[in-house]
Amino acid sequence: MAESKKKGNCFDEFKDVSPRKKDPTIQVLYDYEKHYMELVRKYGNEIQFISDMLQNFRKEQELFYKETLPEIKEKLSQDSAGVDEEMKRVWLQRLTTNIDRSFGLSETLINGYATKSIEEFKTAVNEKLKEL
Amino acid sequence: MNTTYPYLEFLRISKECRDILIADTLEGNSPDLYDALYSNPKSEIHEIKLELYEIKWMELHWRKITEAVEKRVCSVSEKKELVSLYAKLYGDFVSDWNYTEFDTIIFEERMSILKALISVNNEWEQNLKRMKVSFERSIKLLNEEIKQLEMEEV
Repeated sequence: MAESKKKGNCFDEFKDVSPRKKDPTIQVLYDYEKHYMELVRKYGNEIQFISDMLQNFRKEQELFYKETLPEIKEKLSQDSAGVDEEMKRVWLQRLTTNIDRSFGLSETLINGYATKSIEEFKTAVNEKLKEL
Repeated sequence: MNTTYPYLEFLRISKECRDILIADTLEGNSPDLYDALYSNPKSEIHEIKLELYEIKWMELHWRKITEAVEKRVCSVSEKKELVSLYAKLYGDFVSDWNYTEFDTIIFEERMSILKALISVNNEWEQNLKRMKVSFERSIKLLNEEIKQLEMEEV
């Protein structure tokens, strides 16, 4: 919460407004709403894309822990040549750490992508505001 | 530069590399990992073999990044910016790994090359080559270490 306040959001742009906009006429309000809704519509696919990306990422994480990791454990145990128990333990630990760090990287990248998209949206909003 | 493109590209690469890591374990696709898994866990050698496999896996990220940069049709200055962003993200990613004392020097050298790549300058192509050489050195040194330990065991 504190972080979102610090970083601000898409609506921060509207806090610092000219006297004309502090006492807007119906027409200015209408123009603002119209442009804003146009932008939201324009960026609707982008918002959906980020939402899908996050959803797929969470699914992949869940799949790894619920299905893939148990499958790997079973595979290493069933191996006819036999992976040593200690070796199995060591590798499972390292594999999980590696995958977790890779998940961490993906999360950073999704956040980076979302932040850049918001910046683009804010820029577009600012440009529209200047026209009003 | 399309500001969101590098994030999506690196996201795709990270997913591909995770899939490879899983497939290598499940399907035995990597001779390096296979060799490590069947080595003696009581011997020091298994640690080096696992490290060799992991270094190759980390290098795979960087190789795919440089391939993506090479394929990207854009101006030289955009390429420099791309490499700089990738170097920052990749540097943050690999900085968490623990390296054996033996590989620490090369690792630190690699991090300093990444830092040089982050600050966009005219030596970026040279630095990309230095990164490649740095990985090759690591792999060569780890292979030599494995050979030496195997000889000692015999």
